[in-house]
Amino acid sequence: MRLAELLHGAMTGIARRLIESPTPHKLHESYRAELIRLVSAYLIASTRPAL
Amino acid sequence: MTRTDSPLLDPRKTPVQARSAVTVDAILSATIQVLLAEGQERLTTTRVAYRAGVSVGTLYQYFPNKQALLRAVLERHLDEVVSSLERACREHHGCSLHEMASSVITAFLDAKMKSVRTSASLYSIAADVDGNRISREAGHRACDALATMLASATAELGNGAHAPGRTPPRRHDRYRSPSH
Repeated sequence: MRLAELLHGAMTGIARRLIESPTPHKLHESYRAELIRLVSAYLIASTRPAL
Repeated sequence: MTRTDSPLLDPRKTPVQARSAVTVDAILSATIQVLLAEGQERLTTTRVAYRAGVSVGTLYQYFPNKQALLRAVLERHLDEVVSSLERACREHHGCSLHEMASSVITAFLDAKMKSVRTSASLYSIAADVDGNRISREAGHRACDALATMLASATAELGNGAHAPGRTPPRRHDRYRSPSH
């Protein structure tokens, strides 16, 4: 599976968990920040040429 | 919103078309309101028409039944979410991977969180209105936009094959879904 599809899958999955949680507005910012952190790290690692 | 299967929404003269768009928008907004207030079981075309301020006959000009209404609402919602994502992707071509991730995730979650109750209720009706197909089509659009944006992230690829003026062979395909 390619990066775009992975990224889209991660966003849709987290959005659904967030929306279906009992306190979506409370969790929005922490979910957003954590997803950005994880996705950024993954993208950078995935596009870095092998040593 | 896809309307190719509805000959009643084929292009007309401009003023009529604009008025039609306003009517359709009012009907779809009313559908969401009734869905949230009454639930899917109690949602009827009569209730939606009343809430929209149009006659039932007018509603039937655009939507043959309740399922068509719900499907159109889901399509419109996903179109708004994907359009927001596409805009973020266009605006962050050539940025760092962190900026790309930050902007598209923020745009996507903000669009989904714009109305949590609407998003939640649309998840619940999706299975009844061909939601898998609608979601898949929206997903293809989103992945295309993401792949194009990611392919522009030359700065952090740094393997020497992406010097200015050179087009690395099939680099763009690295970010694409195999189905594209």
